[in-house]
Amino acid sequence: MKKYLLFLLLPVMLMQGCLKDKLIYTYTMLKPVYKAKSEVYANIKSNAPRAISNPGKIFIYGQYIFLNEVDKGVHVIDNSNPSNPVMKTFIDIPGNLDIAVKGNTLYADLYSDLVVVDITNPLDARFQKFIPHVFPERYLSYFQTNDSNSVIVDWIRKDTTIERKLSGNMMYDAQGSPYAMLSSYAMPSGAGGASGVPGIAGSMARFSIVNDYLYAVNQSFLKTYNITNTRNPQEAGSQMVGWQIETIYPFKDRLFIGSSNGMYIYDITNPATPVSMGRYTHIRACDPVVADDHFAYVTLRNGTACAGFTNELQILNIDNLMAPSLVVTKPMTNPHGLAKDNNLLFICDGKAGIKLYDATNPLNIVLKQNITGMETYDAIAWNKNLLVVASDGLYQYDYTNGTLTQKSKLSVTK
Amino acid sequence: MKKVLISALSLLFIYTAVSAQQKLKFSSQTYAGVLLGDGRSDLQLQTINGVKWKNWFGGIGAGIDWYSFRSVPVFASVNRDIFKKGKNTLLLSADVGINLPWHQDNYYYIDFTTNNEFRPGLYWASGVGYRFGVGKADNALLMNFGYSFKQSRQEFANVYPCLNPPCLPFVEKYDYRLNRLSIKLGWIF
Repeated sequence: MKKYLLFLLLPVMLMQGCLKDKLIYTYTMLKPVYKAKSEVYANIKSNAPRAISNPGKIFIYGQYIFLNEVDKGVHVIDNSNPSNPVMKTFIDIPGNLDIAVKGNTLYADLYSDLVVVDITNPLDARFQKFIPHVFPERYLSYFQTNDSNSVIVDWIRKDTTIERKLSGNMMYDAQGSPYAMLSSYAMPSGAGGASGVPGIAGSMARFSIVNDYLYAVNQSFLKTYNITNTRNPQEAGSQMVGWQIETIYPFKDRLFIGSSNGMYIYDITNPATPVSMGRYTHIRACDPVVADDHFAYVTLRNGTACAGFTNELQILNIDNLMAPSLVVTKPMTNPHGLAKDNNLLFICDGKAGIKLYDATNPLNIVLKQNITGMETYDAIAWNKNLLVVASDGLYQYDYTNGTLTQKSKLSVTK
Repeated sequence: MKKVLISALSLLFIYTAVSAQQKLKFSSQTYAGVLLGDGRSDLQLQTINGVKWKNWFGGIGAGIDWYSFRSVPVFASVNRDIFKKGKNTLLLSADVGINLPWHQDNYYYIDFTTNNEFRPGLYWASGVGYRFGVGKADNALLMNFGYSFKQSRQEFANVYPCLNPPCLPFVEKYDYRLNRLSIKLGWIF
């Protein structure tokens, strides 16, 4: 009996040291494709139009629509006839998410830099200059660092499997995760424009023009640029706003700044020096905002970087700018951008499509129409024409009669 | 003729089955033990229920396995008695089945992680044991030593912010293949 037990225990004791746990780790790696800066700047010009693949933010300026192709550049679309928009050119701007226009000048972000483009002839755009580090949060995280003389123009996606040894407590090292991930906290561009020709951005905008000033928000700061000389923006100031700033929306002499935990109001009576007026705090969620004289309309959504668990529209009374107060809450599916034109409120409610509300009485808004079948992101309502950016294309609707009638769609080609 | 043949075969089948059942006996094994692996050790509990037939035991088992990631193995189990000596016997055991996840905690928090879940994997074990007959009938104490393998698969779907949803998820897959020595003490009735 004893010899059997010894026979059993001996290999157990000997073998324990030989046992090794294994981890088969499969991950997606993004390999950057670099291009020399000089080459990138030389290519910031009107190139041949290309298909819309991943539409981002929109800006309308006169007869033209400037539609961001996420991280690639800007589609220039002739919208003289909204029923038949024509793709005219494409301006290559790697890392681009936001756009704004004043006069004959287009401002766009190129990763962390701001580039200035002459669009005197929108069909013959020309690079003018760049301003570095306006959006410092758009760094390359983990162990990818950008070469200061080159720019990432593309990413090659590659699935890789490796075998790792494990030890002790099984905790794996997040830093060891070989991700090359672009940190692209991108939201927003407000309304602005030169006298005479309207320039309007969606509610998701991250920089905005009001008269002779360009206001840009990054994750924490509001930066002010004097663009009296449109081709040569001069930084006029920079001030800390808060954390996780997402959007900026100008209305008259105020800036409404959306962050993941609240809305900030700034007075720009002195445009070079915005002054903080009030703040409304909400639970953590992404929150684009639009406003009118008495009310601010804020959409809160969860998911991805927004965290939180709230999907709703909040209407705030802003008669007292120092202390905005919540007056209405309305549940939504996953609201993103929104737009307002007089008494009509348009909400891009993610997979629930576009919603049109009668906001004659902001305390009791009434759903008039809900067009589904598309995942909507941002909208601009101007001159009875509603532009809607959705995951499958750029839609245009007429709302002359208070209802939405589709005029055209530029489809996404994947 | 055909009906007669079928009836005869049916009767033969029923007779064989009844005869076999007379030799089959329900048996239940309950174990507590320790799993020794790569720099760590954890507990295990198991119950296996089935039938004993001559020197064979076959049954279905389930347990709780705390090694690294808590899980619930569910498996088929076979034992074969060898070197029988009175009520005591040496035996060989083999289990194979599925390792169901229980543990669901994040080990590190990524703001953008929208999905992190453990998925089922393979479970198998083999060992040698010694059964000490105790008292009447087939009651016995059992010691079992062997090797145990379990697979825990974890998948993270990280959705990073993008401008226009749906944002493409980046998926990380962790396939843990855990090799352990198993020492169990049990009670059989």
